[in-house]
Amino acid sequence: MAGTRLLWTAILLFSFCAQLQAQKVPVTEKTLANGMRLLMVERHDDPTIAGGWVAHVGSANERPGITGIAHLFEHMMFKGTPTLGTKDYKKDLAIIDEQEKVREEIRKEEALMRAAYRRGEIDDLLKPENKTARLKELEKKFNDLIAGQREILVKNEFDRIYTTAGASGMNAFTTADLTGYFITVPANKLELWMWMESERILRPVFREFYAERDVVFEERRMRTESTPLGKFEESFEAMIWESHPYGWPTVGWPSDIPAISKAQADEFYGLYYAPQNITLILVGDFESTAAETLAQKYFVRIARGKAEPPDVVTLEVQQSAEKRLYGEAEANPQVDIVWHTVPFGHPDSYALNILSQVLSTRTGRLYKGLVLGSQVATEVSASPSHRKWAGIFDISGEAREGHAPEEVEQTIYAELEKLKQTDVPAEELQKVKNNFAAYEFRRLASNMSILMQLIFNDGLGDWRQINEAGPKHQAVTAGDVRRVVGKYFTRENRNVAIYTRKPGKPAGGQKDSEKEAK
Amino acid sequence: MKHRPISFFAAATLAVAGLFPARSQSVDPAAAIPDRPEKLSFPPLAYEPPTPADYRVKLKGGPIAYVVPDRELPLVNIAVYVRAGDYVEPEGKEALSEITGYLLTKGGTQSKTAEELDERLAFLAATTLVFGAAYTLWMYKRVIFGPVANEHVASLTDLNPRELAVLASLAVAVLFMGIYPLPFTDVMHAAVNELLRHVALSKS
Repeated sequence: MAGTRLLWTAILLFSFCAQLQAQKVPVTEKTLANGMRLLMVERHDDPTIAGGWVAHVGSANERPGITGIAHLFEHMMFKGTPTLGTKDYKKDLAIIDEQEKVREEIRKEEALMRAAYRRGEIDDLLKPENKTARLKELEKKFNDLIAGQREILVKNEFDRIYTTAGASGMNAFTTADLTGYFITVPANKLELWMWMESERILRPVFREFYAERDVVFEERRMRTESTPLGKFEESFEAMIWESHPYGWPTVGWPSDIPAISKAQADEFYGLYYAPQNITLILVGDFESTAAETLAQKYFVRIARGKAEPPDVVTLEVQQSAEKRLYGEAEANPQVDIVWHTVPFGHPDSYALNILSQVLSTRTGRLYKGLVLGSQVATEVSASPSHRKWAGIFDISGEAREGHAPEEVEQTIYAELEKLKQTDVPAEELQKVKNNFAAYEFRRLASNMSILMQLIFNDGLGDWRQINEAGPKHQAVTAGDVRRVVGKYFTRENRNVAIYTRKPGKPAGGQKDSEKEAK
Repeated sequence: MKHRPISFFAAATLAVAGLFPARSQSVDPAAAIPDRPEKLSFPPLAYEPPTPADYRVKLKGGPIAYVVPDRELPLVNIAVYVRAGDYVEPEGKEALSEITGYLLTKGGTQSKTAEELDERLAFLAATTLVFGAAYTLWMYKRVIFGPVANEHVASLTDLNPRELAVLASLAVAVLFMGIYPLPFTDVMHAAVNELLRHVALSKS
């Protein structure tokens, strides 16, 4: 027994030491003459460089009417430049101009159709059979132009040049707060990265703009409209955010995506893809001084934007009452609870992160209490989300057969109530902190992992959080955890979604399809 | 109870630090920027893959281990490959290997229940810090080399030469994956990135 205790003491001591020496990520920050920032982390382990950049723009910077445009951009950035992606740039430009003229006519016709829709003459604007004769004629004209453009198009040339040079994993993503682009290149191809990325920011050509818009709409159908909970989650999100732009989906509303024009895209690009709104990030086998010289050479060509990208000024209004959503879905009965909390970098965000780990994982309170203990749930999760402008905390649980989602909901409240009444015991808190301390090292395992963290930290507000968050998590006390539970997890501050199966339908999916087959 | 040593191969994750010196990038700030990327010229890439034989160790009990020191981070990565899998499952006992794997990692040990084991591993932030690694090795020793508690397991016979030949060829492939995983992880890149994108887009 004494031996065991000694071991535990040693372990506690060790974890204490670990947090003292927590590895810092040695980031060098430079600002180029045009306001673009450059973050560099030298790591000479393997001969590769993870290169990426973050544009400080996401769906929160949109407005009604152009929702989805930030994400559409992410797609457009792979379409090429004057010399990449086409065999004949002059002809390409002429066709794009022609296309715009036809599109202008189409937009006029679509406005007439929307008016007809409001008068009740058309039941659904998206149905192909509701297209007017004029629209069909214009679309045919437009498609002929596309066919002409296809002949001189060099499909996916941007990607092909990178992969031919030995680069891998090229991709990008869009959130409500930021848009990130990334790839891994061999260490000797740093200049290629500089060329490719600076060219596509300096002179992107939005060719195939309208075709890509359809691709994005298809993405919406796939993720939102044809998943069991997709539409409900979209409604839930819109319900949680009453005034803040987080209320609309990043992929965009179905009416907006097909209405975005190239002119709107050009304007959006000019404002938000200006150098002062972009941070370049390099992690890997290179020399910082040489990389900086290259960055100066390639990226300073891009002129600083004339206007400063505007701040998002709308704050979420203080929620005054609990909000509830009841959905009948083709999914297992479950509950999803969301409380408003704090944005990225707020002092309370660290205690909320610690709280989420006290609640989740296989040894967390929710799993032990609801899955193993009272057995009302089969699955539980707790996750904080500290976004750039505001934050939420989400707890969800799937009901075990014979139990209602409301029962799961009440049991979750009971677990939270315990946390309001009593401090988390020292050993339990230390367990969570040990995992955060271990993560401080584990996250440094690869160039791409460090790049991703820098993209997120810089995109959400401050890259320095990559080094500052660790000690702040270790400094969280049991009192802090108790305080944040009491402060944010109130009835007035919560949003609850309850999902049940449609009454009268059997639980097994197979029987459903059998019925329909008959 | 007799001890049943199951031969296993261990391949440590290779993150060989310091083997490859930084290459200096030749930069000519004055040179004009070409209109096509093909016109750029690059310094040669010097890369010498490590020789597996340099890291090969034969353990006392028979198993082969690959031990690669890497002092960049206070982390120890351990991967143990056991010559067993779906392909040796007897008919009518499909999923046996998966259940075995699950129980080995989540089923507890002779002295600890599943919950106690989970709790201990969580406290040690398992498989990451040095203590976690030591504990994992200790656990493997108990689980794999410990006395056989179940009489069904005790009645199992060892591999015959034919089975051994089949498994050896698979083991070579497994070892290759451990030593040089890039060709395999590269294939996953696209899917993983797509998933990442998906998560970022739908959740944030």
